[in-house]
Amino acid sequence: MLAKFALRNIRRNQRRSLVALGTIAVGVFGLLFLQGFFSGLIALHKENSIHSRFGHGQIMTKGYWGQAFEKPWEHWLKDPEAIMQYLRQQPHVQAVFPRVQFFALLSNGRMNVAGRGQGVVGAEEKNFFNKMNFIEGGAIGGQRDGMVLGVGLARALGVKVGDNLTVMGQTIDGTINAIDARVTGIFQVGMKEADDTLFQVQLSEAQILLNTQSVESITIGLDDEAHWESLSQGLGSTFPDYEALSIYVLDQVWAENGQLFLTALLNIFRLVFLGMIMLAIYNSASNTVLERKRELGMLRANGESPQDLIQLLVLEGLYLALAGATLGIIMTLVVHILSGHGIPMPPTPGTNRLLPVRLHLESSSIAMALLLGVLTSTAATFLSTLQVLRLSIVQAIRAAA
Amino acid sequence: MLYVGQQLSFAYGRDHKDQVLNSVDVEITRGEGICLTGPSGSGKSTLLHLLGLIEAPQDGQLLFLGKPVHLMKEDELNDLRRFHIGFVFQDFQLIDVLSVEENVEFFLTRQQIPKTLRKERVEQALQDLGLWEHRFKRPHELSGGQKQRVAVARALAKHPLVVVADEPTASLDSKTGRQLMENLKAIQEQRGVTLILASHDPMVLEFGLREIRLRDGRLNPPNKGTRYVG
Repeated sequence: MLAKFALRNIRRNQRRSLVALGTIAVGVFGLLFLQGFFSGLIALHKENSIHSRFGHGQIMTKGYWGQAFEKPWEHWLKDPEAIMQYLRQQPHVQAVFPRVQFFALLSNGRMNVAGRGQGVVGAEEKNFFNKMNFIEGGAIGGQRDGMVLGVGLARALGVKVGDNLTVMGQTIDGTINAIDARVTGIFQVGMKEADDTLFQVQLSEAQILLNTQSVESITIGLDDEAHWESLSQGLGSTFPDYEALSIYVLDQVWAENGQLFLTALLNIFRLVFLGMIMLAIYNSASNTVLERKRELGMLRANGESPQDLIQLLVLEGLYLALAGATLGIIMTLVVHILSGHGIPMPPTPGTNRLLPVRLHLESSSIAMALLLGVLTSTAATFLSTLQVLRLSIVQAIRAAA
Repeated sequence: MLYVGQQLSFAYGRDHKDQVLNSVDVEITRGEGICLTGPSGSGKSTLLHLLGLIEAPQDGQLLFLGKPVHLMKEDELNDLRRFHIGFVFQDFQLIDVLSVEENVEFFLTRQQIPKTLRKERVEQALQDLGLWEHRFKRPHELSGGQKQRVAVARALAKHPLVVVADEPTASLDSKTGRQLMENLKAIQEQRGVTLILASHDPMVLEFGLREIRLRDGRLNPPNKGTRYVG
C-alpha cells in the first residue's frame, strides 16, 4: 500500500514531477553522454595509434626505451629471430614486425628536410597498420624502393606520389650513406608530430642505409589488447634481457596522459551534473513536504512516525529517480544510435585531423550513471525530508491548505 | 478509567506566555461519549489534542490506560495512536490520491493486519456508514458529508478505543451534520468506542454526550465534567 501510495503521489503535482524527472534525465544523460564521448575519444585515439604507428606493444632491449645513446645500434636486439619465433607461437599474436628507426635528411634535389625514418617490412605491415589514413597513394607493400611519408613532411618537400627522394643518413660506422626511394603514399595519421616528421621505407633498405643487419625493435599486433599483460609476462620470463612496452608507454601522450586528463575533466562535469540534480530535487522535494504538511500531520496523528513519513517521501523520490535515470539512459542510447558514424569533432590538441567520435557505452558506465543519478536524487530527497523530523503534528494539521 | 487528567496545563508562544489550558482535571471512562464545548480560544481543541496524544501537557499529569503520557516514548505514543485512537478532522483530511476503500484500508495495512481481515474490516466500516457503493471513488468525487463519513469509517476500521473528532460537523450543512452525529452516536453505543468531540455546534449536544465545558482554559464549572446533557 505504501508503494502504491508513493507511486500515486508522484502524479499529484504532475508539472513538478515532470520537471524533477526531466532534471534527473538530463543529468544522467549528461553523465553518460560525456563518459561515453570521452571513452570513445580515448578508444579512437588508442585504436588509431595502435593501427597506424605502435601496434599493441613493442619488444626492445631492457633500458633502451626513453634513453639517448651515442651508438644506439649497440643496444638493438641481439637475436630478433628467436624472439619473433617465440612470439609467433604465442596465442593471440596476430603478427610481428621487426623495425629500425633512424634520423635522416630527405632530399628532393632542391632542398633537404630532416625526418624520422622507420624501416619496416612493408608487405607484412600493410594489413595490420590499416589506420595510416593515406590521403594520397597507399602503403609501401612489397615495392623495394617504396616510401610513405607524413602529410606535413610531404608538403615541406613539395612531393607527391610517384616522386623520387633521396634519403641521406649515417651508417653505424659513422660514414655518410644514401638510398633512393619513390613515394608510394602520403599519410595523415592525425598526430601532428608524426605527420610532420615520420616516413617509412623497407626494412632491408633502411638496413643498407645504416649498414647493419640488426633490428631495433619488434612490434606486436594482437587479436585483442586484453592479452597484452599475459604475453608481456611470458616474454619477460623467457627473455629476461628484453622488455615488452605496451601502447600506454609508447604513446604516453594519448593513451595515458590523455586518459588521465579526460578522466579529470569527466569528474568535474560529474560534479556539475550531480550538483544540478541535487539542488533541483532538493528544492522540488522541499516544496512537496511544504505542500503536503497537513496530510503529513494527519498521518503522524494516526501513528506514523517521522521515519515512516521519510520512508514514504524517499520512496516517491526513488521512483522518480529510477524513472528519470532510465529516461536519461534511453536518451543517450537514442543519441548513440542517431550518431551511428560518430560525432564529427574538430582536431584535438596535438592532432590535425577531424575524427568522428563514436560514443563508447559499456554496461558498467551505464550502471554507474544510473547509480549516480539515483543515489544523488534519492539523497537530495532524503535531505529535504529531514524537516519532517521537526514537524509538530498540531501545527501541521492546522497548516493552511 | 481510560483517561485521568490532573491539573492539565498548556501554553503556546515563546516562553509559553499564551496559556490556553489551565489546571484542568478530567476523567473519561471507556465507552463514554464526550463533547468538549466552549467559545473560541477556550482550550477545547488543545484538550482534544492532549486526549488524542498528539500533544503532551506542559504541566499536570495525563494517564491513558493508567499510564502517564509524559513518561511514554515517541514510539509508544505512535503505537497507541496507530492502534487505539481514530481521528476525524473538521476538513476530512482524506488522501486524495487514494480511493475511498484505500483511504479506509491505509492505516490497517500500517497495523500489519492480514489482507483478508483488512478487507472484512473495510467492508464493514463502509457498509456501516453507507459508503460501500462509493468505495472506488476518489475523495474529490464525494460530497462533504460523504467525505466526513469516509473519515469516520477510516477511524472506525482501526477498531480504536477512542475516536477523537475535531469539529466534525463544522464543514457540513445541518442535515448532513445531524446524520453524521447519528452515525457517530450509533458507533459509540453499539461498539463501545469512546467518542470525544470538540464542537461549537449546539446540535451535537442533542445526542446525549457528556459535556465538558471550557472557558478561558478552565473547566466551567470546575467539576471534572460530570454534568450530563441531552
